[in-house]
Amino acid sequence: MSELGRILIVEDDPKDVELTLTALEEYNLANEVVVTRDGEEALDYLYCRGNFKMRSGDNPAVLLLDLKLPKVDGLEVLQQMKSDEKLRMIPVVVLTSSREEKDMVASYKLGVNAYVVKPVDFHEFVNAIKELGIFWAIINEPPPGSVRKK
Amino acid sequence: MTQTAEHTTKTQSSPRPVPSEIVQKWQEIVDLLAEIMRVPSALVMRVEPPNIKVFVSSQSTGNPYEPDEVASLNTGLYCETVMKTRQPLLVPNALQDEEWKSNPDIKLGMISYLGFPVSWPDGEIFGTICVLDNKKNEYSTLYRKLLLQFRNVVQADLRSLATVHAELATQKAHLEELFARVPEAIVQMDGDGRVARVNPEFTKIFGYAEGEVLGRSLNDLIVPEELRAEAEEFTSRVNDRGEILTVETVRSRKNGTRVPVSMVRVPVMSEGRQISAYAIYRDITERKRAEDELRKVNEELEQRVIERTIGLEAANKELEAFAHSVSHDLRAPLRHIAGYAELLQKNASTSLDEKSQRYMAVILESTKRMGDLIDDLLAFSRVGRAEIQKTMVSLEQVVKEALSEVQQETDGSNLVWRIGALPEVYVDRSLLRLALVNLISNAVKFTRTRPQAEIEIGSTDKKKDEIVVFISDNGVGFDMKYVNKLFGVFQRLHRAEEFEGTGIGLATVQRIIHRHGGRVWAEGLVNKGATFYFSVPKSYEG
Repeated sequence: MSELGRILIVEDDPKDVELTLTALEEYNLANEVVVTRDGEEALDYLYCRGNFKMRSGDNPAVLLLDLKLPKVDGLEVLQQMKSDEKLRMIPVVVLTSSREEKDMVASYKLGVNAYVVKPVDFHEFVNAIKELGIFWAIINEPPPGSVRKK
Repeated sequence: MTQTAEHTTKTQSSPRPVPSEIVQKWQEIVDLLAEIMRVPSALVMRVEPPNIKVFVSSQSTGNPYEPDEVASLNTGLYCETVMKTRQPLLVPNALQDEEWKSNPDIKLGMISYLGFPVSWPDGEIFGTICVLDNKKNEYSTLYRKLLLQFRNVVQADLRSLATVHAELATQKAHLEELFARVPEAIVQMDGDGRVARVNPEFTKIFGYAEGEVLGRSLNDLIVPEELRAEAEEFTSRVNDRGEILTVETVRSRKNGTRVPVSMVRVPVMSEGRQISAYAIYRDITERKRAEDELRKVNEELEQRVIERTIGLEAANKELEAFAHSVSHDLRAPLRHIAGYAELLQKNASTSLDEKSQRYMAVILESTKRMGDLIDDLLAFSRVGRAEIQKTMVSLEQVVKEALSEVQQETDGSNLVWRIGALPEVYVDRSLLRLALVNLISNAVKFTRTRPQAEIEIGSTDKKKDEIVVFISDNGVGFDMKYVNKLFGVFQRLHRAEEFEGTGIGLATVQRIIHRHGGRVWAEGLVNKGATFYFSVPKSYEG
C-alpha cells in the first residue's frame, strides 16, 4: 500500500459511522478517513469553510455519501458537487439503505460514480466497505489535487 | 269507401272536375251525333244549380249554343225537364205542341228535341245528352238508339271518373286524418312562405289558433329574436336551393316561452319551381330533459371517477413513501443489530459459554431472515407498482439469464437441466426474468435433497391465444390439497428448518403473470416433484 487516498464519509447515523470505521480499521484503511454528519458539514469540508476553514485545500480521493441526511440531503450534496468545477471530479459513492429505483436513477442522473446498498448482513457490509476502501483509496488513481498519503 | 265517397259528393260545393281527355272524347261524340243525325246541334249539358250550363257543344253549322253558356234553371228548357223527370224526352215539333210552344229554345230556332238524362253512378244527376233541330224531326228508332248508346258511353265515363274521385277522396281523408292526429306540428306554406294551413298539434305546441297565423310568415311568429338570422338562412336553403332541412333548434310559443323542437323543412317543387313548403315540428322538451339528466349523471360520475382517482393516486403515493421508508428505516436498525451482534460475538467469544454462543447465532440468523423478508416484500411491492413495458422477448434468452443467476447460488453438481425449445413472447423483460428466477430457484431449492435432481423447462403452444411455460422438477413436491395456498403472500408449505424461504417468491410470480394478463397454476405430488405453469397472452394487446 504505497499511497492512501483520503475518504470523506458523510453519514448521520453514529452506529453506521462506527460500523463503517470498524470495517475500515480491520483493513488498515481508517487513517485517512474524515467523517461529516450531515450534508451541510460535508459541503463545509469540501469548500474549506466553517469548522474546516483551516484545513489544506486538497480534495478527498472519494466521498462515501448517505442519501438521507439532516439539513442538506445526499442528492443535494451530489448536485452541488457535480455543478462545481473544482468538486465535480471527486469520485462519489452513494452508500445507502435505499434500494428504491427512484433514488438510484436520481443519483446516476446527477453523475454518481457508484451506488451501493448497505447490506444488512454484517459480513457482507464489512466486505463491501473493504472493497470500496481498497478500490477508491488505493487502486483508483484519483484526479489531481486529491489528498494522498505516502 | 262508398260511404266516404258519398259523403264527399254531398258536401262538395264546387262541381266534380271532369278531366280534359274526357271532355275531348265527348266533343267527338257530339260532333259525330250532329253529323250522323244531320242536326245543327248536339250537346252535353251539365247542371250546376242554380244554373244549367252547356258543357260540350257540337262544332256543327247553325249550332246556336256556345260552350260554357249558362242559363238559369226554372225557365222551361227541354233539358230541365229531362233532368227533373230523369226520363228521355222527345219533342218532334214544339210549335205544334201546347206544352212546349213557349219554351226558350224556340227563340234560338230549335223546335225539335231528343234528350236523355246523364247521371253519376250514385244516381246524382249530371245533366243531359241531347240533339236539337231547327225543323220538325221525329228521330227514328235508330237515332234514338244511337243517342241512348252514346248516353251510356258518357255515363260509363262518369262511372270510372267517380271511382277515381272516390279513391282520391279516401286518400285525402286519410291525409286529413294524419294531419289532424299526428303528434307533430305541420305547417303548410304557400310559395311566398305565408302560412296556408296548420294542424291541431301546431296549436297545441305553439299556442296559436289556425286563424291567428294564416297568411303570416312563420319567421315573424315563432322564431326567437336571437335566432332570426339562422331561421332566415334555413328558409333560403329550403326555398332557394330546394334542400330538405332537418335541425334541432328552439322556437317561441305565443305566450313567449321557449320550446326545444326538432324541425323538418320540405319544399314542394313543381316544374323546377317551388310552389309551397311544409314545416314540421316535434316538441323535444322531454327528450332534452332526459338528455340533460343523462349528461348530469355522466358528469357526476366523471367527477366521482376523478375524485376516486385522486384518492387512489394519493394512496399510491403514500404506499410508495411507505415502501421507501420501510426500505431505509427498517433496514438501518436491522443492520445495526446484526453488526453489533457480530462485533460482540467477536469480542466476547472466549468469555461466552456455549448456550450464549447459540443465542448470538440465533440473533444473527434472525436478523438475516428479517433482512430477506424486507427485501422480498419490497421486490413484491415494486412488481405491483412498476409500469409494464412489453416487447418481443426471446424466452430462451431470458431463461438462460435466470438460470445463470440461480446457478451462482448452487454448486449444481448433482443437477440435470433439460431445456426445451422456447418461443418469443410479448412481455416485460425484467419482470419475466424475475418470475423465472423465482420459479427456477424454487425448483433448485426443493430438489436439493435428491441424489439426482432433474429440472425441465419447456413450453406448449397448443392454445390459440396464449403460450404456456412450465418448470417441472423431481423434488419434494406438495400435497394438492394445499395448491390454493401456494401463491399467497407468506404462505409456506414447508417448515423453515426443512427449506428456507420467505413465502413471497410465488406471490411475486403470480403478481407478475397476472399483470401480463396470464395465469399461474401448479401440479404436484408429495415426494414426486412439482410442475409450475404460467401462461402469457399471444396478442400484442392485453
